[in-house]
Amino acid sequence: MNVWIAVGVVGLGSFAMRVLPLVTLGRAELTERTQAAIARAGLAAVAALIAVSTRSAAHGSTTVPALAAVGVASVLGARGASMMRLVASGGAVYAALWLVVRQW
Amino acid sequence: MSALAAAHRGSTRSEAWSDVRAGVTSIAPLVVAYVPFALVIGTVLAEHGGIVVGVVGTWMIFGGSAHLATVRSVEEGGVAAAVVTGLLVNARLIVYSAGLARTWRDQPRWFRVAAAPLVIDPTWALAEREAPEPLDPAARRRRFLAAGLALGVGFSSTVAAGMVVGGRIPTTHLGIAVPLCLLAMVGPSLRRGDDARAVGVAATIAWLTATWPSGTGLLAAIVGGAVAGRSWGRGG
Repeated sequence: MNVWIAVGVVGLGSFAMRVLPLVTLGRAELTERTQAAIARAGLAAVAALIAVSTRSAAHGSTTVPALAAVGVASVLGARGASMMRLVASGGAVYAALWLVVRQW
Repeated sequence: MSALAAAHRGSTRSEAWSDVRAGVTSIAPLVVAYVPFALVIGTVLAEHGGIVVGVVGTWMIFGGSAHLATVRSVEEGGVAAAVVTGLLVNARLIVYSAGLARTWRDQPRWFRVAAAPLVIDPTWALAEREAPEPLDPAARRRRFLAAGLALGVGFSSTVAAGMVVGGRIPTTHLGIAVPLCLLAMVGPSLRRGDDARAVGVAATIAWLTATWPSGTGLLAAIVGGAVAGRSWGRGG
C-alpha cells in the first residue's frame, strides 16, 4: 500500500512539473537570455544523464571500452551523424576494445 | 467534387500516417537502447511492488530513474522520503517543459496537456531537434505523440518482461547504448561554444556527484551546466 501511495504522489507531482510550465509559459514574454538559459539547462540535464549512464556502463573491463565509445560518439555526434551510425560506430569501438582488454 | 474531397482525405490520412511513422522511427533506437535499463527496473520492481505497480507506475511517473528511486526508498525511508526522492529525480522535467513551452507556443492547450505526461529526456531531445524543421503544427503533434507513446509502450513492456524473467537475461554490455543514443540527440549542440561548455560542465559535475543522494547530483549538474554556458558565453 505504501508503494502505491508513493508511486501515485510522485506520478501526480511529475505530471504537475510537466504540465504547469507548458500551460503557463507558452505565451509568456521571456527575454532572449532566459530562453537561452532554459535551453542550456535542458542540454545540461541530458549531458548529466549521458555522464551517469556512461559511468554505470564503465566498470572493470568495460571502463576503457565505454569511455572510448562515448568519446568517438561525441565526435560523430558533433558532426551531425545519424543515431544509427553513431550507435553502430560507438558499439563497434566498444566491442573491439572489450575484446582487446579481455585478452589482457 | 466528392471525388476531390475523398482524394484530399486520402492524402491527409496518408500524411498523418507518415508523421506517425516518422515519430515511431525516430524514437525506436532509444526504445532498444533502454531495454537493459527497463529490464533492471522490472527486476527490482518484481521484488518491491509487483507487476501492477511496475507497469501502471511506469506510465504514471514516466521516468525510469524516478520510478526506481521511489520504490526503493519506500522500504528504506518511508513514503515521505520516497516521494521527495522521486520528485527530486524528476525535477529536471520542469526545465524540459519550460523549453518546450516556447517550441509549442502555437499548439492548442489540449495538446500541451495531453503531451505533458510524455515529456521525458528522449522525447524532449527529439522535439528540440525537430523544432527548426518546417513542420505544420498538426504534423508536429502527431510526431511527438507517436514517439512518446511508442517509447511508453516499449519501455513498459520491457519493464513487465524484466519482472517476469528477472536477471536471467545478460545485459552487461547493452547499457552502453543509452549514452550513445542520447549523444546523437545533443551531439550537434557540441559545435556551439556556449552549449558545448554547458554540456561539458554538466557532464563533469554529474560524473563527480554520481554517489550523491538520488537526484541531487543531477540537479547540481543542471544548474552548473546552465550557469557555466551562460556566464562564459557572455564573457566570450
